[in-house]
Amino acid sequence: MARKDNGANDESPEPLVSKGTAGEGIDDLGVPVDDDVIEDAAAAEEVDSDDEATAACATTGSAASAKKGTEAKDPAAKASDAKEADESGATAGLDDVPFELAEDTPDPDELPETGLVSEFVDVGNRQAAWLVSNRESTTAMRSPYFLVTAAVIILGVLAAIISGIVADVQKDSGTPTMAMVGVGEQAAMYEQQLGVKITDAKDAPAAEKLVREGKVDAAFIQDPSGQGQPTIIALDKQPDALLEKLAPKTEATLLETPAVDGAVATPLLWGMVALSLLVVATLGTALYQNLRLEKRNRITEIIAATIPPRASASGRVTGMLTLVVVHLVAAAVITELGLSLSGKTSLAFAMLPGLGWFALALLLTAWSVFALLVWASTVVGSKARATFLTIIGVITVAGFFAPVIIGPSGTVAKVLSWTPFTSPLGIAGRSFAGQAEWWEGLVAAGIALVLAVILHALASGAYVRSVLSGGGRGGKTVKMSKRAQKVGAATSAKGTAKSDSSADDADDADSDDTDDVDADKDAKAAAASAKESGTKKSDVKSGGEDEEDAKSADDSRDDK
Amino acid sequence: MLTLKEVSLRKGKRTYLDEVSFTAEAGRITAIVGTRSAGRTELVRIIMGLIAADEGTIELEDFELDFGDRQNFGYLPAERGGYPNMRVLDQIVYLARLHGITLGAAERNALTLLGHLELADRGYAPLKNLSGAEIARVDIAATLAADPDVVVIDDAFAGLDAASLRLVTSLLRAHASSGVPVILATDDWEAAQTFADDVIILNQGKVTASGSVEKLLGDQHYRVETTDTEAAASALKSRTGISDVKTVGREGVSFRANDAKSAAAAVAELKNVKNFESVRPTLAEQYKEAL
Repeated sequence: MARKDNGANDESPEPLVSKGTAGEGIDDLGVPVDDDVIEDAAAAEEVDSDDEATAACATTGSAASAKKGTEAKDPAAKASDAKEADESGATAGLDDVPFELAEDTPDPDELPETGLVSEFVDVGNRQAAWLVSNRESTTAMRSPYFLVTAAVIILGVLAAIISGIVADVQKDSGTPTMAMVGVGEQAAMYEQQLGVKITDAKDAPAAEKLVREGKVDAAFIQDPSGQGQPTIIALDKQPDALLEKLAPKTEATLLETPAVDGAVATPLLWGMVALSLLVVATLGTALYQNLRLEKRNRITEIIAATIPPRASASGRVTGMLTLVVVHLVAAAVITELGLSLSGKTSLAFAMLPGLGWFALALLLTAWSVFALLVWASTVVGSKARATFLTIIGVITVAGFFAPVIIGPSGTVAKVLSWTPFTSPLGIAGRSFAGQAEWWEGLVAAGIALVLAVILHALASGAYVRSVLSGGGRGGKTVKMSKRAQKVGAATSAKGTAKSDSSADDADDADSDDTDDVDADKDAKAAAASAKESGTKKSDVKSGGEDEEDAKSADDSRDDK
Repeated sequence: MLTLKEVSLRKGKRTYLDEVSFTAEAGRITAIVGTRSAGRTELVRIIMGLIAADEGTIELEDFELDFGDRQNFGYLPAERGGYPNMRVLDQIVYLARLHGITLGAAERNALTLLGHLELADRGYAPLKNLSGAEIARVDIAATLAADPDVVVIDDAFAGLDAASLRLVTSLLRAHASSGVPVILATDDWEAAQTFADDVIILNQGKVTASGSVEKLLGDQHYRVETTDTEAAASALKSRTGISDVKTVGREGVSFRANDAKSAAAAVAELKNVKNFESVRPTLAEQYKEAL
């Protein structure tokens, strides 16, 4: 990198310094300032008053002796000696002050006219990405949206714990159903006696099948020998509504024991859906808006001219992912601590695997969503961007809702728990239901990771292309001529040069669609239309590009 | 010293830049002026590596530019804006740190520049709370905060009122004086003539004229107002030492003379003279109308 002077020593452990830096000031540490040099008044009086440099060195050992030896010399000799003493004094000062304690004050004389200092460190891709990431996350954290989201999550979790929602067992609604073996025509009688709907099953396995298929809440199985007690079997939760109607009340044998009671798991999963949507939507919106803002305000170009665009794109995504981690950790810690403190330690432990897989899968899903948003922000045309955003939104929302609606059982649920976007809630639901093997979480996370990496690479590529093509200038083909023609036609038809400043056009214009290269064509078209209509400059107002066209038209007229 | 050698940019049948060559000297302010669509923005973006030129090279101190060199270029694009909700100081520091400058130096420079630009009391305000001219000054501060090796500003005088223009140009002058080439792209001919040392006049992607402002302004002109312009013009044309005689408007005749004495002597012989003055056509008058 070119520097303005060669003062910096490349081999120095200090940062590369180009001019007027704190680092350079180290050499000046040995030069005392006037206020603190005259310790010995008598000695000071002996010094020629014109020779301040010599006096200034009086306090530093070697310099002092040098000065005393030259008292009788002529002024020229004194000046020469003063210079030498100054240098030796500086060296002595440098020896006296340890390097680490050197004061970080640049010499005003060495500073440029602007007073700017240069103290550089190497900025690699990682450091650049970190800088961008840091700004993204800091900005998002300061936004009210983030704070509201965090507050909603924390309050929601606390409210759920305090009100005992997680501990309450939901009562089943409606008439309970039960399968009985070989009841035949007596089913109606039992229904009347027990107040439950009875389904006749051929044998015990058939009854169990009905339970597994979810067609009945439980099955009443008599001991084949007739000697033992009959048993009631249920799928994965106690059919309390049914059991209450039986006397004496017994417990059902569960075919599939869930890690977390279904009554707890269901509201918990809905809470996790809300959490996921809040986190991804809030941070995703912040990310997208920021990207568009930078594009509009041309900050993208400044950044792209300074750091590698790919690092910039990565920094944005990692900044937001950091905040996802913050949200998840906060929610998980509060949930676990709350449950432990309210005496539900076993439930807290039972929830841990599901919460863990959920957090990991959600983090990777958020990565994919954020990468898609970066990609969407580079798309040319507001309609295309809106379509892209809609697709991202639908995929995300559907992905979070589908596993909870479908439930943890069945092949579809298994597939969803491995599929990106549905895996956070899918794997969590199946984990709570005790239906997920330990390795399934890894599979889900692995697939989500692969997809996220692919999308990140594609989005980064799109971002780089978008930035390095000059934000649409000189590199992108935009149908500017058409727009200019449209504007011209509209203005001609109306008899005024009031350009069509529709939201779409304005949005396009303020973003990446502005095309200086084609601007002259637009200018000519707009100028022609303006000329035809013979209207004033103030009438030719519109946003973005149309305004540019109008200005061009005015300029053209001015030039003429 | 930043040197462009025969830089060309084409797309399809259209040529945006055609073998543009010039040198922005260290310590001098170089203005790239031209009408709209002259190719100023494209040229600036090529300098900053945002667009790849089809042909030509850009050299800094006789070495071809690469990304690492550009890392400490101070760049300000046209139609710019900052982060509206971010504090002014944070904004300047952030953009400076991307260049690799340390946090301490960035903060120190930001404060120094805000002081220079009379924005010292606005450092902790969000950008959106500042006026347009103040925001324009903040943009300049952000560009210079990393003490850049080369400064490239597109649409350099946009948004600046008279007071801001004075502050900004004196700051840019001071920065240039530390041995930095400062390149300003603008369509403000008057400002370019006033504040730049060298001017590159661009038209339809080609360099029409280049050199120091003094050189481009050329010799002194004189203007005489008379009721009979035709007679005055023919009389002036017939005199030796008088050249470039043109009628200007209904009563004006402009001409060039070797010196003031010969100009005065020529005018003394004219009849019906209402006014006589020495004028020097501006760059815009000399070139913009021709373009």
